[in-house]
Amino acid sequence: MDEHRFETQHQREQWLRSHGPRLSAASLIMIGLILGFAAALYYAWLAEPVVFTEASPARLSEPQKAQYILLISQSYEADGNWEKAQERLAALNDPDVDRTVAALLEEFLRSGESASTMKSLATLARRLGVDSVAVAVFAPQPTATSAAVQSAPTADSSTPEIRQTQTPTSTPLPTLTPTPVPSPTAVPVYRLLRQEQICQRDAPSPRIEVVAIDPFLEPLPGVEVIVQWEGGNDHFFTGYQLEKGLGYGDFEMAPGVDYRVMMADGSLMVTGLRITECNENVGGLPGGWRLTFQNTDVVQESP
Amino acid sequence: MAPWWQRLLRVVLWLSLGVILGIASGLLLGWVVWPIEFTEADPTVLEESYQQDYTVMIATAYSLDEDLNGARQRLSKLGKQDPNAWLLSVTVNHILNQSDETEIRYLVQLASDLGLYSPAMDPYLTDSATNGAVE
Repeated sequence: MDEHRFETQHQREQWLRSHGPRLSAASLIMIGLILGFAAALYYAWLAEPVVFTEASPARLSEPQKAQYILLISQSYEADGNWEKAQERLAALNDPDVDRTVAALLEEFLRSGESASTMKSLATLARRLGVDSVAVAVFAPQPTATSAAVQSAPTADSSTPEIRQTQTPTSTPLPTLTPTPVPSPTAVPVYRLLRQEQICQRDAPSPRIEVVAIDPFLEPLPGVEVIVQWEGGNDHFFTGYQLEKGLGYGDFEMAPGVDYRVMMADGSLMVTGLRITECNENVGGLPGGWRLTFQNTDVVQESP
Repeated sequence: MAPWWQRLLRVVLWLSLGVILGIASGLLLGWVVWPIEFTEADPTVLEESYQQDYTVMIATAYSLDEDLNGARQRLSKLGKQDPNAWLLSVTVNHILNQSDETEIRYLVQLASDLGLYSPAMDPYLTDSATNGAVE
C-alpha cells in the first residue's frame, strides 16, 4: 500500500484534492435521479394524489356496490326494463356479476332484510340465471299454479308457488286435511309476510306472537311453530287462544336471549328476535315481536 | 487542476440534473402512468351521468317501496349540497331532454312527494291526478 509523507498541511490537502474520492458525472446524476424520483412519488401518491371525481360505479366500495345493485334490482322490478338493468350492471365492470348478486342475496337473507328487498334482488338474480333456494322462495318461476294464486284475493299478488313437502304431525284443532304434493325441490311452505315490534302497555310480558294465515289471508289453527335459542328450543301451536284468533300462538321471551323462529312445516328462519325497548312515546317498554306467516301452498287450500 | 469551487459547481449541476429528471419521471409515473386508484368510493364521486342514473333508480325504487324517508336518505348519499334542488334539476332535465317517459313519471312522483314543484312537471302531475281519480 502506498504511503505518502507530507511535509506541510498544504501538501496534504493538495494531495487529497487530486487523489481523494471523486464521483463521476453519471454517479451524481444517478443519485439525483433516485432522490428526485422518490420525492416525486411520495408527492404524487401520498401528499397530492390524483382525485378522480368522474368515477364509474366500478369504483364504489363494497357496501355502496351492494346498494347500487339493490337499486338496480328494485328498478328492474318496477319497470321490467332488462336492457337498462343489464346496462347498469355492466357499469360495475364485474365479470361474475351473477355470483355477486347471488352472494348479496344470501348476505341480505342472513341479515334479515325485508321480504320486498329480497324479492327484488331474487328477481334480478333469477334473470341472471342464478339458481338457489333463496331465488326459488322469493322469485319463483311463474307457473299455472302461481297464476291461480295471483287471481286469488291475497294481499300480495306475487305469492310464490311453493308446494308442501311435509305434513303437520300434531294438530290440536284439525280443521284442514293437508294433501301432500310431491315436489322436486324442498321449499318452504310458509313465508314471512310481516314482522313488527309489539309495544303494548297492558301486555303481560314481551312475547313472540305468531299469526299463521292461508293464501287467502284466513287464520290457520294447529300450525306448529318452532322456537330456538342458544342452548334450547321449544315449540307451540296456533289456535289455542281463541280470543286472539284461530291463527294465533305466542311464546314468552326472556331478557337478553336471541330467538330464532320457524314454522315446523317449513319456512325461512327468522333470527335475531330479542326483547327490544320500544320508543319513548309508548313509555320505553320492553317490546316483543309479532310475525305473520302465510301458507303459500295454494293446492292445499284451494276449494 | 480546477479550483474547489468549480468542482463543487460541477457536483451541484450534475446532482440537480439528476434530481430534475427524477422528479419529472416520478410525477409522470405517480400521476399519469400509475396513479393511486381509489376503489372504496361512494356515490359522491360518480360521474354526473351515473349520478343522474342513480337518481332515476332512487325514484324508480321509490315507486316500488313508497319509502319516502329511504329515498331521501339515498338522495343525500349523492353528496349534493341541496339534494332536493338536484332531484328537481334531474327531473326537469329528463323532461326537457324527452327521456323515457316512465322514468320521468317516477322522477316527477318522487319530486312531487318531496314537495318540489316545477311547471315542467305539470303534464305528468295532471296525468297522475287523473289516473288517481279514475282508479
